Amino acid sequence: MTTIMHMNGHDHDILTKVLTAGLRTPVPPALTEEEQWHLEGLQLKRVDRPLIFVGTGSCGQIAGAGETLHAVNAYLQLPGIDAAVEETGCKGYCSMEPMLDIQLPGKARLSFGHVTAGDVPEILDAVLNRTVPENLLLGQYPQDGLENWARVPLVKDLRFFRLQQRHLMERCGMINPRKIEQTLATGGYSAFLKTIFTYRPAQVCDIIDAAGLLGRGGSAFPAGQKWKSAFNTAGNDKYLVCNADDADPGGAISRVLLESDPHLVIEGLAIAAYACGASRAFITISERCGQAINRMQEALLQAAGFGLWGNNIFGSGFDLLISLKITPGAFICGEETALISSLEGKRGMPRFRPPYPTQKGFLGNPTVVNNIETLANVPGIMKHGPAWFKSTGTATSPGTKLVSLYGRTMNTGLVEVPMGITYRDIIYSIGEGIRDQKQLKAIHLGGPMGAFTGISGLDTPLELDSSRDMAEGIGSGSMLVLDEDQCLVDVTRHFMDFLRDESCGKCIPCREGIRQMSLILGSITGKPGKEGAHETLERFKGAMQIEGLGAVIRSTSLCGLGRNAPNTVLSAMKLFREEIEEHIFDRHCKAGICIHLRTFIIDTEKCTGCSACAKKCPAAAIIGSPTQAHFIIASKCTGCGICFETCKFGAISML
Amino acid sequence: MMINIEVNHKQIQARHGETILSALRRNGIDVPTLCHLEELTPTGACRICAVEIEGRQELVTSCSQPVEEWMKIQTHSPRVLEARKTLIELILANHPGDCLYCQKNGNCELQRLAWSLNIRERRFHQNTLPSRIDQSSPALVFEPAKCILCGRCVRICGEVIGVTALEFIYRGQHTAVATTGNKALNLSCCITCGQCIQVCPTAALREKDQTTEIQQVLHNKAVFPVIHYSPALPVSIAETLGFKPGRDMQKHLHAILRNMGFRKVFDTSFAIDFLVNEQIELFLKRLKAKSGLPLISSCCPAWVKHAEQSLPDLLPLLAPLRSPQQIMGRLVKKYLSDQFRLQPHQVISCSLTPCTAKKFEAQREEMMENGTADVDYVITTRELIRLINLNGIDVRRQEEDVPDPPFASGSAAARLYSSTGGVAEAFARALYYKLEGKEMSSPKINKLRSSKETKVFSFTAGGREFGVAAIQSFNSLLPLLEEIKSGKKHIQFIEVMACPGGCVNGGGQALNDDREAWSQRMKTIYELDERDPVRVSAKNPGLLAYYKSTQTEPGSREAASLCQAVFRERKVL
Amino acid sequence: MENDIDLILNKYIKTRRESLIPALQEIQLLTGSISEEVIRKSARYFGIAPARVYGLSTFYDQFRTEPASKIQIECCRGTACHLNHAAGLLRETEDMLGIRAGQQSRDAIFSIRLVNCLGGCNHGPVVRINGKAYGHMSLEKMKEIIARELDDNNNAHERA
Repeated sequence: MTTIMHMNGHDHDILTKVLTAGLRTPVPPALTEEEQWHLEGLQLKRVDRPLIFVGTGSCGQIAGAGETLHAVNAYLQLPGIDAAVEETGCKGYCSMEPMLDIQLPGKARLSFGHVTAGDVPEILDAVLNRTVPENLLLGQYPQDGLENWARVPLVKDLRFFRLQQRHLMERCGMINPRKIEQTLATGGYSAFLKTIFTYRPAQVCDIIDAAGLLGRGGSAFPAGQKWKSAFNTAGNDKYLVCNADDADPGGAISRVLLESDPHLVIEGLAIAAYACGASRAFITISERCGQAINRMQEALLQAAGFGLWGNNIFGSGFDLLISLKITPGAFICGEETALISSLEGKRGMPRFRPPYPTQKGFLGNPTVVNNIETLANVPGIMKHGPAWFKSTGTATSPGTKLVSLYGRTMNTGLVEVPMGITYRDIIYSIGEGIRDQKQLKAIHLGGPMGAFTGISGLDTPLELDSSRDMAEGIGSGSMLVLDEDQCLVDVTRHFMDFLRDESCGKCIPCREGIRQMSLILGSITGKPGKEGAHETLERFKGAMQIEGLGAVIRSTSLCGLGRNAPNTVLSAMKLFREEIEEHIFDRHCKAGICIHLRTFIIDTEKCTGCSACAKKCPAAAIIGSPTQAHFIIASKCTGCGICFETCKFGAISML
Repeated sequence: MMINIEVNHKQIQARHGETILSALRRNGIDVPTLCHLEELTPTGACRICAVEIEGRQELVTSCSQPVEEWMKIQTHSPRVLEARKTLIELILANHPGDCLYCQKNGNCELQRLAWSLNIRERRFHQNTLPSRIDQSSPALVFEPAKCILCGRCVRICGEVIGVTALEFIYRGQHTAVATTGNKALNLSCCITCGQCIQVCPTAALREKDQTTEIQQVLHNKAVFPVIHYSPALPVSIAETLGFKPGRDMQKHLHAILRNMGFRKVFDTSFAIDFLVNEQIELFLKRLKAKSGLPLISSCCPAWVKHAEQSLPDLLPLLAPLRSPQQIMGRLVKKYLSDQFRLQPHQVISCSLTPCTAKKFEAQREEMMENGTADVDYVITTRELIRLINLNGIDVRRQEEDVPDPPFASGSAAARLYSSTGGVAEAFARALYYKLEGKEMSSPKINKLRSSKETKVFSFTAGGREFGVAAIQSFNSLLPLLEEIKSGKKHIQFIEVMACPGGCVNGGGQALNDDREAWSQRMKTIYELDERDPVRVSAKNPGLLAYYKSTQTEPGSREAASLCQAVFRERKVL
Repeated sequence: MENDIDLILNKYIKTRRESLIPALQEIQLLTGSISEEVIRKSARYFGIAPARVYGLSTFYDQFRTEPASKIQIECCRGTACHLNHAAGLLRETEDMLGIRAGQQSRDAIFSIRLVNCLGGCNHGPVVRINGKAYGHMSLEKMKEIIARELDDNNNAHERA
């Protein structure tokens, strides 16, 4: 539902003053005391009555934030309660959802996690009576002019947050993204206006170049160079595209930014468009992400209403038209030339390069396609300068990286870390280690087109690989953490099957090659009904082909999808060969995930001969006479586990 | 501007801005391709042409990469060969293994690549997704299982012919080539021109082969098989039979056909001249009535189908006349049943043509009389080659022979019908002759013999200005009609052909790698035109004799009844 | 015959072929699928060959060539959900409904589709039913939700 909340005139004037201070001559008057006080309200620094924040991003919704919000609204109806509620986006602390914050007048904002509908009354009762319940409390956000709560830790000292440097995510989960005034009050769009009034486009390219901003979508191409290339190509119609199409399984980067701080994205995009000489920009979001689309639609309307894009922005002479494009669902459209094809109203097929999109892109015009995270970095660089940007991160990878941490860590979600932080710190400090006291087995970086890293790589510093080989480095930013209960071969097959289904089908190595890889991995992780010599031979042959086939797919594919598809399996062959060979030769899955490779045995001591399991066995693999101990024929067993679930005597176990 | 590049450790010259492939080919270095089509921009889809370039991590497709000064390229390094081999093996793993039973056995690009890359074992899992063979079209067979998704057919049909009957659907491993709505070909807007067959590297798209049926006919004592051949045929069979491309084999052709078992061999040029005369009569009627102009040719059945489907408003402009093949069919059946006291159904009238759309035309409803088809079988050039092989006919030992009367002769103008611009040229010569009573002083009309998209020729006859045009692509038609309507151009007759280059490049012609073979055939036709004493249709002696013996004349009711055609709107998507 | 499809098409500039996808998205919201009529009209409007429109509609996940089923089950195929046994749940769902992912039941009541990450990575397996995403899905929970949806559906019909 896109309901536009209209800004009142008073707020509008104050915010205009704030934004344009220092941009124009004569310099507009400073804010009056009353205006300053009002501004603090918009900044959520000062509240007149208790303000309750509920994080209703899509991950929160799935965790039950909708019900939590409902409970808060119900509570607010109670007699004698004078408080308000504000919906925010996502803080990225997905394992803590639903999250609820409360700010009392004059006091620091408190933060709670795992707040279900049933927990709401207890927490609100306590806090509104100025006590802090221990249960579900995370911490507090100190601010100048507000009193801290006693004996309440600071949120930024929590292990999840301590090593993070939240430059991009500063507002995520803290403000209501549907109210542009909160963004504007906290510095939104100031970098953009400063840029278009202070610098010429070529200078902006230079600044971004000097900062060393690398593309964050996986390709790690220097952003400034891309912009310069478009800027230097002749043509009056240039386009900037914000690629927010991420569909990496487990990747939450685009979604969190779009749902929680869409204006940061618009601001970055607007600066980039200015630098390239583009007067038209697109933001592409996959149709799957309904909430992200709604938030961005609203944000664009509100920003336009404030004059932040359109014709002659704030009298600068810069025209910029921004359109939201909803891509109709294809992972390959994350690839820039495929995205351009899709924008042109065609099948999303990648194109060969040269010519590059910055020379000939959308409808033959110079087009810059930037990843959403890349663009989100831009306002900060323009505000604080390249030296500031380079002060974080490493020499080759300056700045921060949004990392989607998921899998088996205690804490999962979207985190923002300085480049150079080790994987160990992310997993054991930010992630607080592996759940359920399990052992770390492997890390997988970069989503389906990335690769495994073993435990020996734990102290690798997180970096973007400027050689643009996604087999190394964090790629687009997904970090999957796997423990001893996961089967790496199964995960490999899962990624390969995904890429097989998302391949556009244009080129042979990707379409046919990934298909073969999937078949090979399928034969390794599964078992045909009857396995004869032929199937065994096929399996061995297939296993032998993996490396050679992988090399050919990598060297001949048309685009990054094909080129990087073999990364996971090749890294698995290198680092976890034993596990793969166990599957191929021993037909055994230690983790017990590949169900067809499971074998069950009956403990003859415990078996009462009730035959319940034999009756249910779909493969007729259990034999035995009544009241006698039964026996499972391993060669017939398909590993379905029905017998295991049926046995009331605990006599059946998995090998 | 020439630049230097290094290929396989040797320096060669390349043109600035050209692709690596183009430079390699010009220097005689052979790199295989699959999705490449000379006349169209590259897509970089198959990756077979990939080469190794120093300094580049991946292999680079030579069809799409422009040359750069001092590029160091390896076209046959072990890494490149391994990649090429693997790519073909990947296709083969998703391809039926019935080469020995396949229509393209021995003439298949995929087979050639598999052989040349030394593929000796099935390294990959043989696995194909289910698909259905489409035999609904009277002219084409589509077997998706054999499709390697090179995309050539899609591009030819869309970008060159302008029909876009085929497109890629779905994606990934489910990608397929299909018609709108994934319907059978006969329910689509396919015009059966067969150009897709010409470019298909495998047997996925092929003509409906009727060799077996023809053989049965030839050995069936109860029937009287006869054949009439299009004037394109004599110049179309040379290279497949081991002669110089484009050489005129007319004198050999008759003996070949007789030895095969055809009882009569007729020259369809006769019917072409017949048609031209009717066209002139029709044209003059319309000219007098000042309506129905410009007259648009209708001898190309693929064009007719396209008009019926996509341009039904233009149907009144088309000459409501059959193609020469169908006129010939009528003539032949009538003559033979009269002369030899045969029932029309006992005469098996076969048409030998370079065209696949004629298979479609022959089975149109109106091409029948009293339940018997005017043309029973349409044999394409490719099927003729098969018949020659099957019957063990030694082409070199054939005696020279001539066609059978009364349909034994055709003018040089009729022969020009095989080539783009020829229909217009024959018309212009005939119109001039009709109005002036004598031939053009220079019958060779160069303006209608160029490779231009739209060819125009103006002349004066009978005190009036006339203009004829010939177009090679449907896309040119509507703009031309606009210009005529607005008065910018004065054209009263337009020749429309579906196949680029005309019938010499028809969908039924022999398949070979040389996409320029048809230009050789055209050259021969023009040479024959120079030497031929009869250069205008009205002067065809055999035709004049026929008119006399049947007491008919051009424009008469009897003549018209042999040529009538009915065109109607077809609703297809 | 002019109808709602034409009304939608007329909102777009016909020389801008790049508007084809937004136009089809809007039309599908109205008509439920990209039918032959939609293909014919949009092809004619934008001056694109019908085969190209058809090829485009089959390439993308969003476009349907037949109307949506009453109950649309979308199983997240993200990695986090995969680790939470989403594959097993999918198998059970397929067995229960008698159709495979990507298919629609013959009575057009159910359809199962795989969908890319829905963002509930800590709460897998996530399944979206008729547009609402649920975490920690199980077969039992799914049966409840389906029953509720069918009920709502029937009530809507009665009211209408």
